[in-house]
Amino acid sequence: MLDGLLHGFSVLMTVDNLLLCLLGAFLGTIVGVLPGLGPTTTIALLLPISLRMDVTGAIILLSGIYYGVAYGGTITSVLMRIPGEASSVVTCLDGYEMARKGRAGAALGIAAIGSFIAGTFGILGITFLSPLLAKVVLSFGPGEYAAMMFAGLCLIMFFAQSGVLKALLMASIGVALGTIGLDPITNEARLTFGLPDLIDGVNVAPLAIGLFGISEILMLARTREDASSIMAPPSRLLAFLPNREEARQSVAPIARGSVLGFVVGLLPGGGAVLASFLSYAVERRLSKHPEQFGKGAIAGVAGPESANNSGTAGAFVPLLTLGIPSNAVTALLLGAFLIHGVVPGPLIMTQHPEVFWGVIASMYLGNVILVLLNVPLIGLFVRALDIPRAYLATMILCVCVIGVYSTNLSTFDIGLTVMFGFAGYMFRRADYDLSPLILAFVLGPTFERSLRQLLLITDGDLLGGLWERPIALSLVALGLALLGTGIAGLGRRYTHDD
Amino acid sequence: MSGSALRARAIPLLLAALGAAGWFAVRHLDLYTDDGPGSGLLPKVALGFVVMLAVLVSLAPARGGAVDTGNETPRAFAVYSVVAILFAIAVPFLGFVIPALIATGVIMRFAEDRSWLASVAYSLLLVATIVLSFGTALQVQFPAGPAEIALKSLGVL
Repeated sequence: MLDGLLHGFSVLMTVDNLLLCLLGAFLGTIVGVLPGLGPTTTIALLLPISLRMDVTGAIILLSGIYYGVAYGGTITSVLMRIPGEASSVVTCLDGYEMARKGRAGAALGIAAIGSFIAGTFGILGITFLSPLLAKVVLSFGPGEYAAMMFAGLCLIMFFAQSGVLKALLMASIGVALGTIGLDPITNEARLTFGLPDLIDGVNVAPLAIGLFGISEILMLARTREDASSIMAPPSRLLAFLPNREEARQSVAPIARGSVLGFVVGLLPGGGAVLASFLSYAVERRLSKHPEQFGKGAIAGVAGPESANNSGTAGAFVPLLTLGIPSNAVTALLLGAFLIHGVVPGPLIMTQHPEVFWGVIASMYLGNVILVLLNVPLIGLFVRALDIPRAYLATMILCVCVIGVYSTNLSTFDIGLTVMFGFAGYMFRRADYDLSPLILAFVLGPTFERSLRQLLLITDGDLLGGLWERPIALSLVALGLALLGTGIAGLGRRYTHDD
Repeated sequence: MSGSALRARAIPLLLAALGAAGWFAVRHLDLYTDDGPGSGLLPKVALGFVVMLAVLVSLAPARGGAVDTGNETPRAFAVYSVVAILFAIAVPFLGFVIPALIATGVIMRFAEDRSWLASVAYSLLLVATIVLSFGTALQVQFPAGPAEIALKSLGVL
């Protein structure tokens, strides 16, 4: 393990990779500051451009954006009460109240310190847990794989903000879109509608860029621009330090947030957003003064900010060792791996050790870069909010077009992207969660392959096949239980409303 | 019926129709053959679920969704939408540079109410930046068009 990590640092220590790590952390922070423009949109936009890089550099850049976002989102939550990113929503509650009481520096400082500690904890978790998990997964057959993906999708649907029914619908669309093109076994065309451009299927880039990039432009275009009021960040570095009492009150929430966030991050459907909300709930319940929450309690900043960073790190474990993304961002990262011909999973450590350990090493460095960037440069990052919609939206539109074209050198994909953009806009307006769609799309082909292999092995006796595989059976049972619970809860809600 | 309530019904019904059309398109594919699961298994099951779930969602009480706040800018939205569609249509014939210049200029002028001078200047600046950063520096391939041919002969692309 130590050898692997050292190898990772040797891979990282090239000028290109170091610059990409710095660029990823910087872009991530900017994206985190800008409300609306999340990591999913940014990674979707950069996905085609990353094709020009080698796979390690590309993943280092895209991962840097993902974990940098959690840092950036804090800034606007504390100074403006506007979460730059979903994982910083709860920080608005107490962070902004602290700022109103003149403790903005302490709130930002404790968030940065907590984020650093939790981020480091999460990366240590990846370093030690991934090789162990990979050994277990190596013994999995198609049944276990299909069941794992089914359970993962069910978990994502269970946690979906839009409700189980809409999430199931989105996942079904994602699976259906994933089947477009030639069947991998029989070579029969499926859902191509006679269009030769669809023979190779739908690429992840047009779908992701359309759903997240173009729809973002349309969302931006729909609403009038408001002038935002920003509280001034501290001008002195020392002002970011919490006082002794604040530091004492933050130790336990940071520790709890780090552990809780990492565990939640491991779950499909988990990740930074859920981790931060859960941490806030835990801190409030454990506090001797729960009435102070929402009025500037530092534990309400320290816990969630730590949890969202370790949650981000935790989400890398299933991605790297199982090849299963736990949210939309990691689904796009999986897409980036696949575009470069690297299949994440238990064999990645032996087949592509430079990628696996290089990315992990970059996380250690990225975490340090983020703390060093964030505290002194807060004033600069806040100025990103002054970019008018006109400049931002037109830039995104042009980058979307050139990005999509460069993936496959296909102008047809540009039309597809715009179509998916309008679909994404409609879904977002009607409160459909897009994560199950993109996850099901990415997982669909592997799920289909595993399921068909299982059916072949068991001669079509799916139940009998599962019965002989206790791990697969447990995973399917877990998935069905989650779906059942979600649907039952939905029914109860409607019955009560009516 | 309010805009959000209408959306809550119309979107799933549209999805149900698209799902049914998809199912019709794969109806000839086998669910199962003598050799094992057929190529139609997953598409048929997934599209069947799409139709069934979409109908269920359309029947369920409307909840969630964006509520029209009166803070909308319908003209800007219309301009952005039309420009995005025309941009996609124009690229196969005109390449990237010319449609991008026109699209950016039109958005700046008609959606964002900037002056003609500012619109033209910004669109030139943006497209030049993209060509230099993506085309020249990153060597990203651009869709072919008259402007791209000229830029290629100058060694920019």
